[in-house]
Amino acid sequence: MLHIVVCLKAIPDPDVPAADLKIDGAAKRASGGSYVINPFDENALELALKLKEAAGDVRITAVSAGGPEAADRLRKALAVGADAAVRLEPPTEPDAFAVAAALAGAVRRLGDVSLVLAGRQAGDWDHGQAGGLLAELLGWAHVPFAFAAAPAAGGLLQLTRETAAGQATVEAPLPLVVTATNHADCVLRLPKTKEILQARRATIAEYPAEAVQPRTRVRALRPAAETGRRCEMLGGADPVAQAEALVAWLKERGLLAGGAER
Amino acid sequence: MQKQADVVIIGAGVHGASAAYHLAKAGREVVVLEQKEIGGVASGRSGGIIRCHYSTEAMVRLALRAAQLWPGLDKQLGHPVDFVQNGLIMMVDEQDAETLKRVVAMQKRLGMNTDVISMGEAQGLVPGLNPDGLALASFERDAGYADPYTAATAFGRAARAAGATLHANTAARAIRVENGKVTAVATDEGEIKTSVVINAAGAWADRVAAMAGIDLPVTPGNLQMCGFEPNYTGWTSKTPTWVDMPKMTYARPDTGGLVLCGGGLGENESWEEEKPNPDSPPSKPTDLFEAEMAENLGERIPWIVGRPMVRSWCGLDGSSPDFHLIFGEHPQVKGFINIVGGSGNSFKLSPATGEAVTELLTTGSCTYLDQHAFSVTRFAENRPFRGMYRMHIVG
Repeated sequence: MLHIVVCLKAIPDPDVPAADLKIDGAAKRASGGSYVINPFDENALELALKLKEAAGDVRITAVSAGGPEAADRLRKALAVGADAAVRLEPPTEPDAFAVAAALAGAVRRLGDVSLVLAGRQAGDWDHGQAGGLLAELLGWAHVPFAFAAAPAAGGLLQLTRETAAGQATVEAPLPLVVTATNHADCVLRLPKTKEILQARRATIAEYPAEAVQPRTRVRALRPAAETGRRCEMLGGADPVAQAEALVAWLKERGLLAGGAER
Repeated sequence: MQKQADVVIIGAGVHGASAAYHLAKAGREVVVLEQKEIGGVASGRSGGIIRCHYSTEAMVRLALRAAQLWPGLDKQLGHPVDFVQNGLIMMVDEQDAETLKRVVAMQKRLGMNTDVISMGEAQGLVPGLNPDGLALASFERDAGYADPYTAATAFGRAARAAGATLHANTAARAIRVENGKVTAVATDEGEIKTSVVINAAGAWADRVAAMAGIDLPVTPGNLQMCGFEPNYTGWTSKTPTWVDMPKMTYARPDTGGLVLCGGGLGENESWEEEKPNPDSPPSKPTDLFEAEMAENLGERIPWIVGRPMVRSWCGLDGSSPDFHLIFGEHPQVKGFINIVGGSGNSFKLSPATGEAVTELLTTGSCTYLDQHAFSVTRFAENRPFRGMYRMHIVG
C-alpha cells in the first residue's frame, strides 16, 4: 500500500479584487475574499488522485497547517477523494522552515508515508521553500515542478517535470517529495455534491503544534505604496496630428535623444 | 462636492445609473454617490440575462418594457451594451406543465412573443439537449443577454453626458430627515441638500435605509456564476438561453463561446446559513455551487461533461423576502425612494426602473411599473410576489 501525504495550504483568494483585500499592518496579516486551496497544491492533489486511479492500493492523507480556514479547505480535499485529513496548528510566523518542520512531524507521526506531494509554492507569500526544506528534514529526495506522475517498473515513480527548455521525465525510488506545478493535465477535478455533503460530516484529525522556532520573522506588512498616477490626454484630430503632439510633448521634456527633425 | 441637488442617488449599479440618466435627461440636477466603482458589485457580476418570462403580471409588464428598450439601448446611451437576442427556453417537469400553459397564455395576452413548445422542439433549438425528466417548454423569442458591467458604465456615461454628477469612491455617510422628510445627504466632503434620495445600494440597501431611520427587509445574498469551455459546434453565441426549472439551473452562451451558468438549489441553502457581510464579501462561489453546476449541466447538456470550468465568480446583491424588487417612496420618510431588493434578478429591468422613477418624480404615476405590486408595504399587507410555479421564487 502506498500512503501519500498531500500538503495543502489555505490562502486568501489570489483573484480577490484589490479593493476587497485588507492588510492589517499591526497583526501582519492579509485577508479578504474567500479562502481557497493554494492552486499549486490543488495540482499536487490531482497528481495524487491520478496515482490512486492508476495504482489502486493507495491511501491519501491531506495535511494542512492553518486555522479554521485550513480545516474548511481540507474538506474539499476529502470531497475530491482524499481518504483522511489532518490539521496542524500553523507556526507563529509564515516561515518556510517552521512549516516544513511541522509537516515533517506529521509525516513521521503517520508512520507509513513514502510519498509527499505539495505545490511548488504558495500563492500568498510565494516563498517556494517549504517543499525542499521538508525533503531535507525527512532525508528524502525532492523532484520539483512535476505535472504528471505514474507508477513505473521496480517500484519506482515516473515523473514528468517542467524545465526551462521544455520537459523532462525522471524515475525516482520512494520515499520521495514531489512538488507540483500547474498544467492542463493536473487541474484538480471538481467534487460531486454528494461527496461535498459527506465531507462536511467527516472528522478532521488535529495534531498538536510542534514547538519549532521560526527562522524568519515578518517585521512589517503594508500595501504597495500609492504611486499617484497622472494622465495627460494629448489632443489631435487624427493620427498624424496626435503623433505630432506626442513628439512635441517628448521634445519639450528633453526626452528625445539627438533631437533630429523628421 | 455640490451643496445642493434635486436628487441624490446612492449606488451606481445599473439601477442607480439608469435612474441618474433618466432623471438628468428630464432636467433634474442629479448627484450619484457610489462608494466603490460604477457597476462594481452586483451589476458587474450579473449573469446579464434579459427575459420577460415571469408568472406574475406586474413582472411581465415591467420586464416587457425593459425588453423593448434593450435592443436600442446602445444607440440611446451612445455606448455599447453588447445586447444579443438569442431567445430563452423555460423548461418544466410534468407537475408544472399545466401551469406553464396558463403562464404562457397570460404572457401572450400581455403582448409577449412567446409560445409553448414541446421538448422535441426545445431539442431542435438547443442541440444536444437531454430532455429526461422534463415535460414541456416555452420559447421566448425576443429574450437575450447583455454585458452587465458595460451596461452599467454605459448608463453612467450617458448620465454624465446628460448633466448628472457621478462620484465614485464616495460613500453616503448619513441621511438627514426632518419632520418625516429627507433634507440632506452627508458625505466626507460635505452635505448635499436635497429633498429626494434614491436608495439603489444593492447589498447595502438596508444600511442606507437605516441612515434614514428605516428598517428595510433587504439582506445581502451571494449570487454565483460559472463558465465552462465547451468543445461543441452546436453551441453558439446565438443558442437560446435555457432554464431547467426543476433544478433551478440556467445556462446561456456568451460572446466568447463559453457556457455561463448559475442557479442551483444549493444557493438558497447558503443564504439561510449566514448573512454575508457586504464589506467583506466572498470572492469565490462555494464548492457546492461549482459541483452542482457541473452535475446539472452534465445531465442536461451531456456534451459538457469533462470540459473545464474556466471561471467562477460571485457578487452580493440585496434580497427581499419574496425575491422581487422593492420600488417606490417609503411610507415613513417622504422623498426616500427605494429601487432595491432585486435579489440578483433585476439587471434586466434596469432600463425600465430608471424610466419609472423619473415618471414617479414627475407625474406621480408609472406607465409600466405597478407601484402597488412593487411597494415595500406588500410585506406588511401580506401580499408578496408569489410565482405560479412550484418553485415560486423563480418568479
